[in-house]
Amino acid sequence: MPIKKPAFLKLPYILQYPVVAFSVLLLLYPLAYVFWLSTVKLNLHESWVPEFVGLGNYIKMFADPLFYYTLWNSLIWSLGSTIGHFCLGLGFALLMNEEFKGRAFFRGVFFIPWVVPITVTGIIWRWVLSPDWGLYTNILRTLGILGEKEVIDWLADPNLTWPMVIYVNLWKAYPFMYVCFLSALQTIPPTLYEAAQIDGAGTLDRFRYITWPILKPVSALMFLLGTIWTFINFEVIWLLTSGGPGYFTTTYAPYVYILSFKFWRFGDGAAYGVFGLIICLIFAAIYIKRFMGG
Amino acid sequence: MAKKNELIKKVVFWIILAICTLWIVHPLVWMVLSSIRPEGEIFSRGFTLPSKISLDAYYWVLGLKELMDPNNPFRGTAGSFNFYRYILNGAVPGIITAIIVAITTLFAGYSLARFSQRGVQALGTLYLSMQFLPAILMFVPLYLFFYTLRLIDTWAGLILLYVVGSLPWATWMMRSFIVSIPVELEESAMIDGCSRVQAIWRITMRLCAPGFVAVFLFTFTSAWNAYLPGLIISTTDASKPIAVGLAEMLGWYGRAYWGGIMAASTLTTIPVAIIFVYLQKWLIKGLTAGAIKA
Repeated sequence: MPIKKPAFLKLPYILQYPVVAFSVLLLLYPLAYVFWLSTVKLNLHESWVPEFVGLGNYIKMFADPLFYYTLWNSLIWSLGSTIGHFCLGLGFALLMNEEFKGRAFFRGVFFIPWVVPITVTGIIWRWVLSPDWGLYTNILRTLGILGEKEVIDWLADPNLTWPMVIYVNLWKAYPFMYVCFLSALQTIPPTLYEAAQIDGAGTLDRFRYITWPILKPVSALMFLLGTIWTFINFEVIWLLTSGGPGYFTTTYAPYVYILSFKFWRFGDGAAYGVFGLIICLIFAAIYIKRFMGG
Repeated sequence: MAKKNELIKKVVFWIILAICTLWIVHPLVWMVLSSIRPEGEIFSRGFTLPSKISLDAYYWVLGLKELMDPNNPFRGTAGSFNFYRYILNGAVPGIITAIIVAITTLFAGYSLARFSQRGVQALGTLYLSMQFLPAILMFVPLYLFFYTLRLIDTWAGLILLYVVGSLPWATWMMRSFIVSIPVELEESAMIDGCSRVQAIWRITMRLCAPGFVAVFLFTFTSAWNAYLPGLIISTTDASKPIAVGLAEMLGWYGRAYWGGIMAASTLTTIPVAIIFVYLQKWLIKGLTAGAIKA
């Protein structure tokens, strides 16, 4: 009797080996390791020898007012950005779903922020928003709203920092929602609208009874994904304000960075990182259960 | 009456389109305008166009001191921004990453597209869920590993980080390309006497060449644009990619040369802009493949 080849030696699995190897070595093993790291005290500027503290890092974390502060910031950041992305993405997708001359060109233009390197995004927006010579300050001066010598510190004024940081993130990250909505809209047969028009349905009715029911399932998915991706985003805030002034705009990812790579407290960084991961996993579980299982 | 309504609708549509387009491009236009402004006008108050086109900022970035205006106060520091080195550090690891990712995901993507074994599909779901891992959390253990393996401040370290960042979505993108190639083509080749591997090689691999190129270019772009990996492991100019070098210019000694920063930003954006024009038709697939199971 011939010995049956085990499944993992068959072609479908062999083809997965390279990707699996990279994933295990650089994602799954480090992931397991970071759980262990979150239970040790490891302050690199003092010593490289980890000292086991059990749940000590977590207890310290829950007693730290900055933990709650950055968590609250993360909520503002994630919800504010995602709601904005959602509206902007949907609006632009509806606009680009119309028939008009040069549509292909404009569809491309509306992608542009996605491809601009994140560093360049940070730099140009800091330049546009610079207090004295920035574009926005100068426009307000030209319009006469602002005096010749007056300045607005867009990114450091406590009343403006949050709106501006989210505003920049809107510009940078809406294209994902836009693309998803656009591809969903293209699945709607135009005959449906024509029939509705003959029946006398107005623009709003058509949106409410045809477009929205089709977009609704995609919308829920996009909202979930958008919230997670914004929550774990590091670059936009870091390049604009470095989490400042003070800790004013420090969210989850910048705080993990500060703990680990500014203070070199890897145990604390890992504990806070793991806490954020658990939040992501809860969201991801909903996502997989709702959209992958069904 | 109906005709007049149509006209008003059209005019309103184009006005909205113009405003949206303006909003999308305005920071980029401001970047290019600032890069060609003569030195003395960069810090002027009021919203004006450059009085003449000056390429001084570009000469400054490229180290062409002789070509600069002798009155430009930044003439002395021309070339002090290590531009060529940063470009090299961005491009070479980016290209190597793209080669590794395109080849490994070709195998994995084929397997995901063509085989329905439970284990294979479970791997696919695993790759999807890896996108929910916060990058910043993974850097805490990876930094320690890379330190032990002497990968800090090396191209190899950057490549490993870029590869692992791209693999999950790239696998799904490749899968979506291969799914769109009819499996019947392979089957008929097998009936004609090809072995399975021959059929894959001669038929499917040839047909998914455009998909291969698209994955290659997407991966290169995401490596070129990446900021966080370089920020954490590139400690000196030996491995600092352009995205990190550029961001550091913001914190330069004394008064930063904003014209130079804008010129360097423009130059950094040009390669991805060219790739973008080529990739336009793949964008929807590229952005949505990792998010929605087709």
